[in-house]
Amino acid sequence: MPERLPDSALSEPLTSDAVFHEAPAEVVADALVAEPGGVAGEVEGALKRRLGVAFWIAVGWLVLITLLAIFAPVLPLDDPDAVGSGGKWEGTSGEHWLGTDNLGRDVMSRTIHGARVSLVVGFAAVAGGLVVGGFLGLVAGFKGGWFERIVIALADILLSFPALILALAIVTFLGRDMWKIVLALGILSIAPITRLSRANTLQWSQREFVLAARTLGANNRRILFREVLPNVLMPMASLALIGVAIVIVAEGTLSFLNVGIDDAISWGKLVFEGKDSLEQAPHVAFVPAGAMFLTVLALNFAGDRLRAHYDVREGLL
Amino acid sequence: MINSQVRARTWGFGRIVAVLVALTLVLAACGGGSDDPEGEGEVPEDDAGDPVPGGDLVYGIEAEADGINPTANNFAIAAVIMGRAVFDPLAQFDEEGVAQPYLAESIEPNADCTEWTITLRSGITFHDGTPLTSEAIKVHFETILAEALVGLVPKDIFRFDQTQPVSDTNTPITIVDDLTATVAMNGPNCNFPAWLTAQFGFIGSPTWIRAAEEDAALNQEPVGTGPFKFDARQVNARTKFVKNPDYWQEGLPYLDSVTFVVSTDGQVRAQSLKTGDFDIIHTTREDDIKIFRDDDSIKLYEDPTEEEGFLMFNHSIPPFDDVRARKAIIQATDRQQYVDLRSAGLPEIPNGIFHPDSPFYTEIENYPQHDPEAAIELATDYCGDFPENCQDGKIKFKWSSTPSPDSDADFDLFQEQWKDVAVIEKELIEQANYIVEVALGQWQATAWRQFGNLDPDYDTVWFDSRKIGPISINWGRIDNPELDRLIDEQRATQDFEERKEIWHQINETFAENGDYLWYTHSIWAIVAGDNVQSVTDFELPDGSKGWPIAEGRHNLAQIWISQ
Amino acid sequence: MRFVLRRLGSMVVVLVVVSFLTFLLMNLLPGGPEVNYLGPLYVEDLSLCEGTPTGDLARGCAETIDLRDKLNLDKPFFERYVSWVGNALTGDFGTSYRQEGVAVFDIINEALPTSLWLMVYAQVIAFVIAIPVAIYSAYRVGRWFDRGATAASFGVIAIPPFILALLLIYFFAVKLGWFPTVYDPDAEAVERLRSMFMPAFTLGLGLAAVYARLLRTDLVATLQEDFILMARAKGMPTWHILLRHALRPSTFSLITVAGIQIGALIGGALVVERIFSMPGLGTIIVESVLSRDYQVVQGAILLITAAYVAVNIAVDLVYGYLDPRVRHARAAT
Repeated sequence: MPERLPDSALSEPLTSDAVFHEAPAEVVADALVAEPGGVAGEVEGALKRRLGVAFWIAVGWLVLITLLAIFAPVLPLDDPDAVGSGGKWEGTSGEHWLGTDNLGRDVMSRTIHGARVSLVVGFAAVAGGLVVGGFLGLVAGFKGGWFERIVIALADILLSFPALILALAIVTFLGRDMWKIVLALGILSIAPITRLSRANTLQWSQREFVLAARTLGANNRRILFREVLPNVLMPMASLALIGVAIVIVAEGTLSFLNVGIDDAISWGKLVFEGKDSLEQAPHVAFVPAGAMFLTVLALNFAGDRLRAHYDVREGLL
Repeated sequence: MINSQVRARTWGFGRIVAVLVALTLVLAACGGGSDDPEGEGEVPEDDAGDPVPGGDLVYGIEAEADGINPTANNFAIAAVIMGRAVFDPLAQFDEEGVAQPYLAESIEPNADCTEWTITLRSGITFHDGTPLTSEAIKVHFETILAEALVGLVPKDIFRFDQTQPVSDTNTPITIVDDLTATVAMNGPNCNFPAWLTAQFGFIGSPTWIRAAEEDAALNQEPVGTGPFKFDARQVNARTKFVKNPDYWQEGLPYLDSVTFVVSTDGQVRAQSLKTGDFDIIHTTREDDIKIFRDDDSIKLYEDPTEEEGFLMFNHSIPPFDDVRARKAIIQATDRQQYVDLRSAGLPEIPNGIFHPDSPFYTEIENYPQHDPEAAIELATDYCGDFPENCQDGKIKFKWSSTPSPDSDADFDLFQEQWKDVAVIEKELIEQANYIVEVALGQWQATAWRQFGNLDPDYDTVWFDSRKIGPISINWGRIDNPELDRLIDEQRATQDFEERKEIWHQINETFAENGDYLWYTHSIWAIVAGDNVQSVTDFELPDGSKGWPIAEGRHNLAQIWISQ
Repeated sequence: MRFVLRRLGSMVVVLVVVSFLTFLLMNLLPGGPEVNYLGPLYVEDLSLCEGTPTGDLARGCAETIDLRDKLNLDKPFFERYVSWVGNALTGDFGTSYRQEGVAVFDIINEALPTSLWLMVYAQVIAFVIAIPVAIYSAYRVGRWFDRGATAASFGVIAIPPFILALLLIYFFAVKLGWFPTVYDPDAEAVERLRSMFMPAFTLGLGLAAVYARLLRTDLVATLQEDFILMARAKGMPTWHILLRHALRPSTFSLITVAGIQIGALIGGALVVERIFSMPGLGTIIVESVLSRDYQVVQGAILLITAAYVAVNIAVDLVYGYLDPRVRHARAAT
């Protein structure tokens, strides 16, 4: 299908950017477009075979922050809601390692509890998007025909809608508790994931072993789930990590626009709360912002390395 | 002759709408009170010599106005301060806080204050060339009374058949001659001039008001008699007014132009003042005011007698239809901690609606103070009688609020303070619906701001039981005949000491019944660069000194910029 | 040609669906525009008005019914949609509810230049940063600068725009006071550049990282080409080779991606404008959604979607024109 080449090669980096202009989206764009070649290709080709120290540092950070988030309730942390646990806007001290916020609450504790929400939102929304979008893309890429046309047309329409406004409207309509935000961001992630999954499926369903299976008389469902899916899964998982980063930032952006989660503290909300006291107490905003940055960086990096490792062909996306 | 005790502010309702329209910003204000009232003590002295004409003033304001038509838009702070450039109020407060004629030559009552006669100055024209006549007064008031939202609060003080639309035969306004009109009051009202110091006294050109009724887009291009003429406006960005060369006050204004720039972030606004991008800004954020107080490179003008921040109880539904539930919450509240954490420790803790700097201030000694044991006792007692409104022996209720970091912080703080007496749940109401929900009364408790008027007469509608209905701007549905009687009494008297005593009783009644949980006085601060002179220091047409800042607005014509 | 027509056809379909979805979404939002006009007098539940209401309720009922009539809110949904689209085609997007009576077209028209300037400025900043960094990185492949630039670009990409904005505000506005964000649309060019610097930089830095990585990769490849070796053998100065010979052939994918990024920029501008309180389309849309001024939201979304889709098509066409492989592929369909 020569016709697909210009279409997908061009619009993919654009459309996979959820219009939030989150930087991680550009990683996708970047990763997709900047296919290594020449000398640089050789250098990066070497990297491709091993994941590298930096990769494991990134994974280490992700594991650490996840463990902290999971065990936050049992860790010897201050109650994140304990008003007046310290004074207002205190700096670093033995009692409050990362200082206190405007109500004298422990910033470190709040940041760690914020990780619970941000990570859950990120992973849950992308997981939801993967289930729906991944399946649609898989079937579309494999079956082709009218089904593919319709799915891709729908995805394109969703993608041409300014995502931030869509999120804003969905959230205003549904409400702002955590799972509704997850739902809203999950819905937004369906279209780009559908396209990625379809592109990956296309790539694999042309491979020799699929043709071989077909020649051997395997039926479609068997080929799809036994031959194609396992191969699509890892590249999709690596891209999903980048997706999680995008969603975490998207949630933060919603919070920052004052339309985020209302019943729990996320990183975005903590940053938003802290921004009014930049002059008096910059740490209140910058500690959660730092945690968010490191996590997004780690997710991007790990995702990017995995993608290179599994040799996701950009041209076909 | 004006009653010498008339003091008022007239945009309480606009403020309430402001809470909704620019909620984040208005709620960002949390507290008030300082050692000095405006006009005294630390207020900077202008010793830069004689005023020189010229210069362009850039004013950083915290929010945008939906429109600048006093007969069509509710004036929150942005519209009020811009309105002061383009309109002249009929009356302005003098140094004592007494409303004196300003655009009007005189404002006089009949013997029992049921009718007021407004006489205008002659020879004044609006910016569009329309002469200022009594016709302007008529068009102004009748348009306000016909306007659903703008007319909502003031309509009740006027005498006309309120079940029918305003018309030539159904109007409280009578034209006497070219410059004189009378206004009929709905009962004795000796405080009327105070209502004319802000939105309801900003007189616009009748030609323009009529045209704006046909084409609402004209609400963005105000035409008044003020020191500055409308020049250009980009909503959410900037609105520019230029000098009115034909201004009726000789020699004024000094400035060539005033430009109002919307700058919603308090920190950026403050920085822009320091870099000179703004010449003057306003703010209600105590944390910023605290920093300004220590900054010698700027001039700071504070007005601590602003609105009170309080928890409003819905008296019409459980649990707060019971005084024990209200008092349990009040006594569980550590207001000192609130002020320290949320208001930079600046405001004094209120026991009633008046700041110590207010002429109406009296000590309210019966206000229930912080007492955790007493609170638990009250809650237990209440829950014994009404277990259905409780959970684990604690009062259960919903805290209604719009989404904003400030209301979140209030909620988080109070939730901690009340954890022994109450189980509270946050009910989020989107900003756009907040005021409707509150008016309909399907809420239990909500954080509110009100009672900022210098003369409290305007603030009586909020607890007047005659305003209760399915739609009720007596938001809390306080139904107390004693309060209604006091409201009427203070309105009918001309004796200031008597009014002050009545207001003392009103505040004591609030305290006795635990009607409100007062937790802060807010402050309006005007901050100007060092070269901006005579910021709040102005003279009335008769040469006497005017009141510096009321509800964040101040006179602009006398401001000048030194080199 | 067929390709062009097909793309235009799909653009129309996208616009119809998006306009319909927007209209639907705005109509589903709780709390109508009536609240803006009537405040507490707005009667959402009209059954309250049955019988003979009294006091403020009577007034509220009368006003609410009046207003709904005036705004045609009681007409069937589909009828309202069709009339809205019909008007929109003639450039009439209705009037704002919040700034009562002001034409939506004027509001958008007034805000548009701000957003456009912001995007152009962001692109310029991105290029100004990316090109020198990429050239030097490619010139010294694998050295410390190259490695540092790569690491930095990864870091930059991981900073969410609102956090970057916050950092900029903190350092440049709060600490240094260099770039307060008082945007003046009427200011002189220099002043305007200054007042728009922080928002444009917020948008531009992320782009710069992408562009730099892209250009560096292509430059490295170009520098391996024979004609470069030839030039070098001829003894041309290094800077001449880099700028005159290597740069231009290496910018092909950069330009393509820069075009594509316009789509992302539109989205990014929404956030950044809001943070820096710039009176552009983004600020207007967010404010309007929150205050249910849905005439403005509908108009703005339609416009943005149209622009977005048009840019997409334009990039596709330009790309197709530039790259013979693509042209042939299209001809084949």
